[in-house]
Amino acid sequence: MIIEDLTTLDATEVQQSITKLKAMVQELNPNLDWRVGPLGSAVLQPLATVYTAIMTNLELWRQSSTLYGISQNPTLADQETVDAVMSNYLLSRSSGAKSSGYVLFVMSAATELVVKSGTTLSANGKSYVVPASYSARADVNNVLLSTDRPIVQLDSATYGFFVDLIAAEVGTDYKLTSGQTLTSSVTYPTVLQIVVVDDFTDGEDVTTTQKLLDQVNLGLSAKTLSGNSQMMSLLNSIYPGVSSQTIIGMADEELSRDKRSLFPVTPGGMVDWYVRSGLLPDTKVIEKTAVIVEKPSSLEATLQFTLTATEAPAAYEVSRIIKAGELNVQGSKQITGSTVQFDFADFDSYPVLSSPEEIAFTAFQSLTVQFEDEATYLSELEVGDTVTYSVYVKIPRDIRSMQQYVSSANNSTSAGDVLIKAAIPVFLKVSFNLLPPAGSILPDLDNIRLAVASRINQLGLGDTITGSMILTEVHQFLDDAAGVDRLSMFCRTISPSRNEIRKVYTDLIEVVEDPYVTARTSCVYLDPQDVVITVNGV
Amino acid sequence: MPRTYDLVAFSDDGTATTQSLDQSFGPFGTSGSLCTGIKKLMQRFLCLFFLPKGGDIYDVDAGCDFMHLARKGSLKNNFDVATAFALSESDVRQQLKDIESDDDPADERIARCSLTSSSFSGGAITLNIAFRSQAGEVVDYVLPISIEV
Repeated sequence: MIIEDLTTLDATEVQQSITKLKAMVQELNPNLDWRVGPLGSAVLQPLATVYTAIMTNLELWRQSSTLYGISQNPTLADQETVDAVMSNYLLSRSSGAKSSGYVLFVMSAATELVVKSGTTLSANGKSYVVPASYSARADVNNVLLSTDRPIVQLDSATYGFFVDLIAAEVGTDYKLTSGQTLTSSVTYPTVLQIVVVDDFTDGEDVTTTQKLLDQVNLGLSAKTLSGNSQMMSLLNSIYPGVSSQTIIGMADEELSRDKRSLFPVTPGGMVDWYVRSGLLPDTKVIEKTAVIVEKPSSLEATLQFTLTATEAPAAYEVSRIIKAGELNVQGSKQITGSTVQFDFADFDSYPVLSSPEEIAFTAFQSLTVQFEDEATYLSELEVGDTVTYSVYVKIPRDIRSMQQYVSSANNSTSAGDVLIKAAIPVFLKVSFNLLPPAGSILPDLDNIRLAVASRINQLGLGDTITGSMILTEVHQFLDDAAGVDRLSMFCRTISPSRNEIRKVYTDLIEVVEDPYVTARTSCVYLDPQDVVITVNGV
Repeated sequence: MPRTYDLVAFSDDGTATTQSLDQSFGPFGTSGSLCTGIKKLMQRFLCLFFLPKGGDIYDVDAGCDFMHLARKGSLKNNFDVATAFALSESDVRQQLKDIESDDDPADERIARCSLTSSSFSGGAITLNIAFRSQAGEVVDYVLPISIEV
C-alpha cells in the first residue's frame, strides 16, 4: 500500500526527517537558521514531509520486492509489487469470485409476478442480487424465454418458482446452503418464503498476500506426480479450491493398500492422497427412484436406492430424504443405514482396492442407502415397487475429476498408483452462551456464526482446533465486559467404515479412536447454521 | 558563533516608515530578503502565533489558540482579545524558549511580547504589539487579522 496521503505519515518519522534534514542543510548552509520560522516551517518541514513519504514508499517497495521482506510484513507490503514478485514463482493473485445459485419463491397462490433485475435479497446479513428480471408464469405454454419461470405446485397449499441469484460481493462468506431462507427488499403479497434449495457455489476470496506466501514453495515446485511438494503443487495449480492436502505413502500407518504382501514388507508405489477440496462439501439434491425392500404394514415401508459414483462421487452422506416434489416439506425420512460398493465406471485404470474402507470417499464409491417411510401413498404398493424421492447428498468437490486426472494415461505415474480421497469428514456443531453486559447492544449473531465457521473451515488436515480459537473469534464482536460460557463442540465423524462417531469437547477437539481416522486424514467442517448461540441462557 | 539568517516572511517589522496592513509571505519587493536579530526572532514568533494549535499534524503541540478563537468568532471585544493574546503569547514564548540554544545572541531570545492596543474594523481586528528581546531592544508591530464577527 503506497502512501499517497501525507496525513497518514507517522508524526515521529516526520520529526526524525526534519531533524535529519536540518542537520544536513545546516552543515551545507551554516549561516541559515532552520528552526521554527519561515525557512524551517515553510521550506524545511514540507520538504521533510515529502521526504518521509518517499522514504516510506521506498521502504515498502524494498519490503515488497523480496520474499523475506514480504513475509516480515505481509499486510503492509505493496500489493502490485508483491504480485510482480510472485509472478516469478508462477503465482498470481485471484480477484475473487461471487457465490451464486438459485432460490425458490414459495407462494400461497399460483399468481403471476415479476421479480425485477437488481432486486436485493438478504440472508446472514449478506446481500444477494437478482441478475435479470424473472417472470413467474402460471401457464407453462407462456414459458418462452430463459427468464420465464414456470409456477409449480409444491403441495396442496403452496406453489413456487425458481429465480437465479448472485452474491453482491466476492467471497466465501456468501455461500448459502440448502434450507436457508432469505428476505426480500421488495414485498410480494403472495410470497410466503424464499428458500435455498441447492447449495450455492463456493465463491472465492481475494487472495491475500499471506496466502500467496504460503503457496510459494508449491509455485516453485515442478508440477509432477513425484515428490510430495511436486504433487501438491500439481493439484493446487489445477484445483485452486484445494485448501489442504496430505499424501499418505509407503510406511505410513494410514495406508492399508500396500500392506497385503505375503512378506512383512510394503512394496511401495501406492499413495492415498487426502484433500480438502472446499470450505464445505456441496449439498446436491438428486431425484432417486427407491425400491421397497420391506413392508411391515400397509402404510410403512423400508426402501433402498443406490447413488452411483458418477451421480454422487465420494459422497460423505445422505443428509435428507423427502418425497419428490414436496420441496416445502420440513424434516426427512428416517435413514437407517448405508453401505459402500465398488464402482469403476468410466475409469480405464484404477488403484488397487480391496475393501469398502479403502474406497470410502473416493471416486470409486457408490453408496446404497436404506430408509423408512410412512405415508398413505405406500398403501397400494408392494415389495419391489418404486417411489421417487429427492435426496440431499453431501459431496466433496472435484474428487472424481482429480482421480480422472491422476489416473489418465498421460498423467499417471508408471511407478505406482494414486488414490484421491476426500478428507474424512468431522462435522462440527458449536454452541455457546453470550453474556453481554446489561444494557449493551447485542452484536449481529449471523456475523458471529460466519466468523466462527470461516475460522474453522480455513483449517486444514491435521490442524488443531481449540475452544479458545472459537472464543477469540466470538470476542471480536463483543464489548470488553462481555463474556462467553457453556462452549460445547459436538463432533460427528463419519469413518470410512461408515461408523458415525459422536463426541463432545469443550477445550480441544481430539481425533477419534478409529483405525481409519488420524489427524492427517481428517478435517473439520462447520456449517454457519451449526453455530448455535444463546444469549443469557435463552 | 556567526549570526544565522532566516527568510523574511512578514513585511511589516515596525522599522519601516510606512506600515503595510497586509500580512503575506514573500511580499512584493522583499521576496528573498534575509533577516537576523530581533527581526528573525519576531518572524519566528509570528509563525507560531499564526499556527493554530493542532494545525501541524506532525507536531500537534506547536502553535497557540489565538487563531482558533479568532476564526470561531470568540473575540467580540478588546477584553476578549487581550485575554486571548495573553494566553497565546505565554504559550508561544515558552515554545520559543524551548528551541533556543545557548549560542543564540540576546537579540534573538525573547523577553516578552505585549499587546499595546487592539481595534475592530469590519471583519478584521488589528493588534498593535510591542516585541522585546532579552537585549532590551523593542519593536512595535501592527497585525491585522481577519476574524469571524
